[in-house]
Amino acid sequence: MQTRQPQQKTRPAPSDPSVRTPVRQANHPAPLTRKDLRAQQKTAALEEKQRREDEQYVRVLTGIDRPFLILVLALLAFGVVMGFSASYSYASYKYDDSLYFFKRHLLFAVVGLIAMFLCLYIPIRGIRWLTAPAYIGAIGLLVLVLIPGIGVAEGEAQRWIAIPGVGTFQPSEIAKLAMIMALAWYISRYQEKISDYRRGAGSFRYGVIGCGIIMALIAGLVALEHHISGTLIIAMIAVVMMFMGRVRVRYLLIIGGILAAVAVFLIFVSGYGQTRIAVWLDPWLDPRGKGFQTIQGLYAIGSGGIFGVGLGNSFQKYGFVSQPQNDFIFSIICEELGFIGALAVIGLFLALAWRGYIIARNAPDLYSSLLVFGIVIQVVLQAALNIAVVTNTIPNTGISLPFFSSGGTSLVILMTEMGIVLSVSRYSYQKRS
Amino acid sequence: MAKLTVDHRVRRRSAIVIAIFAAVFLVLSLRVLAIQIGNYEEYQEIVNDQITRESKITAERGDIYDTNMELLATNVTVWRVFISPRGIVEAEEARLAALAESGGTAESVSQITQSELIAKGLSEILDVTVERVLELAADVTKLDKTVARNVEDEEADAVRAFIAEYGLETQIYLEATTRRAYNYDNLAAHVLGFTGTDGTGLFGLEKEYDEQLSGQDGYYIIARDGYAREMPFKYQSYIEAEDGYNLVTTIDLRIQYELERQLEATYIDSGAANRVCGIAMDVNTGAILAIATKGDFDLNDPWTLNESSAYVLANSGYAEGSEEYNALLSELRYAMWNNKAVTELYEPGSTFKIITSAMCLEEQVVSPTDSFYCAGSLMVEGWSKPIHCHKKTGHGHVSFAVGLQQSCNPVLMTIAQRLGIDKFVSYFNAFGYMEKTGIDLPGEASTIFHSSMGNVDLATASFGQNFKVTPIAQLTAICAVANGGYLVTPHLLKAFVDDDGNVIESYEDSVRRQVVSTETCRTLIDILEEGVSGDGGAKNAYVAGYRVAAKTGTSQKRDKMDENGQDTLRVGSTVAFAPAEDPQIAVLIMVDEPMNGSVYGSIVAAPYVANFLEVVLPYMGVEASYTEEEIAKLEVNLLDYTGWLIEDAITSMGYVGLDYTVVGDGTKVTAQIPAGGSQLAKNTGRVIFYTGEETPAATITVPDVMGKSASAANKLLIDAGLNVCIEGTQNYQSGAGAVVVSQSPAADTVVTPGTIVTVEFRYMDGTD
Repeated sequence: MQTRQPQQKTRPAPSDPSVRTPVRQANHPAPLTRKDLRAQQKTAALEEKQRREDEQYVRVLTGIDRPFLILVLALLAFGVVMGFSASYSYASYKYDDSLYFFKRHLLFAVVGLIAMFLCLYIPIRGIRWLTAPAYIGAIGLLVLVLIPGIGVAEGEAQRWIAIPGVGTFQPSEIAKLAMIMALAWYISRYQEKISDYRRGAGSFRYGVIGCGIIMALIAGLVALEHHISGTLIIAMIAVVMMFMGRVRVRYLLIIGGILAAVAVFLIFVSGYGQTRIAVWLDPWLDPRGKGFQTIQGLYAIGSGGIFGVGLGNSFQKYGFVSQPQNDFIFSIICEELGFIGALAVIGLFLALAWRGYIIARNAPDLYSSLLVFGIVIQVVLQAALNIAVVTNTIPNTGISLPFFSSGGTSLVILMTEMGIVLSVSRYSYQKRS
Repeated sequence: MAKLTVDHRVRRRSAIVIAIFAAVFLVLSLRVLAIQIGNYEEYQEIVNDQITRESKITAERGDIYDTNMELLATNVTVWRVFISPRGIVEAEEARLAALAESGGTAESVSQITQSELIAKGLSEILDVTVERVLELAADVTKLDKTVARNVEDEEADAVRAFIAEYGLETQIYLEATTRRAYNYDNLAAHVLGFTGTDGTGLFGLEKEYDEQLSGQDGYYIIARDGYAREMPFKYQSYIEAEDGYNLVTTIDLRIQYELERQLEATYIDSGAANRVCGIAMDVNTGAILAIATKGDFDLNDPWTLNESSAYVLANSGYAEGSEEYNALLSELRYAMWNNKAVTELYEPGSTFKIITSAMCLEEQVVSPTDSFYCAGSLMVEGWSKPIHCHKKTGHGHVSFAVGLQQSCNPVLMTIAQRLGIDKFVSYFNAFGYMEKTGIDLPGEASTIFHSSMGNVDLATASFGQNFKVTPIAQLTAICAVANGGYLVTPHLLKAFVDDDGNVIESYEDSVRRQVVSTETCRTLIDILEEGVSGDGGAKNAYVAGYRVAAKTGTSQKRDKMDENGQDTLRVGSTVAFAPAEDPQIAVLIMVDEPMNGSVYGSIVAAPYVANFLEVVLPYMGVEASYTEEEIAKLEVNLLDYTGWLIEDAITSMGYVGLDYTVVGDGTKVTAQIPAGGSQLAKNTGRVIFYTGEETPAATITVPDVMGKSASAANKLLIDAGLNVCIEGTQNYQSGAGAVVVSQSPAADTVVTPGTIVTVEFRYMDGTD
């Protein structure tokens, strides 16, 4: 079995006592305290444990991770079937063609599959090389979408760019991937500084400020689109990646606290936010208006019961759950397939997360590990938020359900991301058998 | 040495994140489960309701017929006119767009807004203001705003023409509905009752038989999606409406009409302050042939007050729309709708003497020939003052029969004392007074009677005072005497039939019990008949050719004083049944608080009972049999002799037994007074024939006969060369008391010789 060295540039382990900021070492030789000594002993013990664990693994170039591929294909197929079932009434009403959304969904699924398999031919090195262009390109697109005439507005939100002949796509979808790539690169590049918790060692500078800027550029531009859920998801992905990249928990807690405080403040200042909260707490306050979609979604879920009314038999998709092929498709799944179907969807996402975690854990380096984990987190986070919205667990905000919601270009981007994960999986360490 | 390159701390943190997600997904799963278990049934029902539209198919309300299948109440198609504010908005947008395109000059584009056009057009056709329509049109999200209901065909056609003219198909709509229609407006208003706007019966038979009349609504269930498109749906179903049954009543339109005519007459003549009512009943079955109250109301417009109620309201001094005004309006409406014959109580007065007599004859405490002495009053044990007879001077020595015919109170008190309290009460119960009669009309009132009866109570009860019953209870008891002792159940239901005339359910006559023996009844009926045909108190109820048994009554209203605080208010009533030899029909007329002159039942009620029976008995097929005296007074139907040879006319006069005078010397009759078709009395009638050049000329002044006795009036008129036609009581020559109460033409009118003067006689001697 062929073994290979990690792609990572050779750097001393962060816990290596010889690693010190040279300037600091010259001017202020830090005396070893008792606390430092205890920490060193603990670190040494952990390192020994890791070494023993690591010895059970060998790095092999085996090909892609089959379970992950199967999960992706299962979700994709499930999504196409449910998308068709949920959309045909609305499609026949809106486009006089009940197959309208199904055909699009199928087309983009195929394009997505091609994109996914193409990604397998890109080495990790190549992906890393694409980080900067992707990030800069994403920023460019986010700026572009804000320019009237280029960006397509739907109501107050201006978040789409039209591609003639294909439809529209949301730059924020690309921006999410670009940010994940950028954070993965940045965190792995400055890992020693981020994880050196000693005063002045740069943990805050690199871990919080550096990561923060990468996230804020993207999140800020998305926020300008009036895309609250997108901003929220971008921020949450960044925080999760920072946490994984060993940014100090206390910093993250403080950031989280501040962000939460700001969010609460904004909600109570704006009438729009207050209305959303009020309708969330009691959708029946405005059953024909703002609460309509939520109420109809709940009716759909509830009327499904444990076993559902059967595939294709939903009543609620006939114009009651508005745009049932989109954000609220989960409610139609619950209605047609019952709790069993809901559990299948949730189970698939959870399994995807689990398998993604395994791939990330066994990744050849920190960069690819962070990249895989960021992508996987993005998918399951979106799924969790979508289900939370549909079940009225959190206030209603436009979040689609990956693989299921009809969304053209976003499905292609999603499949590309899955391709990246699968690409990384080829370089995984495997447990000795 | 192979090893995992990703730092173990990174791996641990990743694992924590995954664990958190697992927890989140677990929570979300539970949330879904909670909704799917907790709200399953509720939401499933809502979802089914959302997708299905239940269209009601309204069952047609049954018609109401009289006993001869004459249609009394039915349904007619009317229209509901409604506008679609949303449609108006869309049309308005189209108009503005067209206007903008043409630069605001195109003549084909209306210059006023759609809502103004529609408001103006509808207000011209329907009973609605422009402002009201504009107000309705302002509710722009709605698809259906009612402008007018119960729009008749004519207006509906006008609306359709208006729609067609301006192309308003998406703005104005018409929907067919039904309205209850009553073919005879006021006729039998209280008994038929009416329905509310929702079609349920509110009063009378409409309420009593609402369930049977209204039938069972059907449903048409179809599935419609959220875009209001019909969709194929396996649960689609159609449940046929079951139309209501048609109700055939025992009411006979002809008899009802005649009763109402007489009630209206006495209502006007007597000026009854508290309305009048009457009932006619088949004595053997209890079938109500006619039942009415005056003043009444128009069934097709029941919410509008009748004249007298409107007068009360107008003179109440309340501002229109004020709270007091509305309260009074509502009170007056309910008073107007009340069926007096069933829902109101009165003291029956002397008409109850029939019942007292029946009890006493049955118990043989008296016989018709027993002798009594009436000194004008009687001392009763337990009361310090004498109880008076209506004739203060007393009737002197009388037999029981004469005492009853003269309505002598002391005679009745005496026999009641002989009967005793216990027996009186048990007969009172037996005659059905203490239970509801069971008539199939809503709101029957219950008798108010002594809870424990004393000696004085017995004395007053014997002549029908100091307790209250409903007119229907009183007539039901009278029927028991008339039909040989059987207490029947008064009823209006004859049968329910379907639209094809099949009988679904018919009324089973029910005799509740026998109260007194047939022999007792026979004895009593003969006495009562003699009181009509002889010199009794009920002479005014006499009908030539028929033997009528009747009893009049005048009772004091003991619980209500007149406006001066005096005890002058009375209820005058008469009960009668005929023919006496085999009673078929019983009738009661009750006049509550007569205000114009006489208050006596013999005057405000008996003559109208007679008039009623005079028409109804022949209609019912009861053959008249005249006494010789009556035949002598019979009238002849005069032929038209114009163009006859005068000899032939004179010969004809000999056959029919009429006197004649010929004026002029021609050979042919050119004119005659009275005209052909007139009724002339056989012995006193005189015809004037004009021949040749002579023509009738007004030369005779009609004398004043008002207040004159029968013989005096007759003589005056005949001597003047006029003919006489008699109305009112027919046995005017057998008593001296009858006097002329009206004449036509009036005194001092100049008329041609031979003109018929119609006079009405009535006994005015005030017999109770």
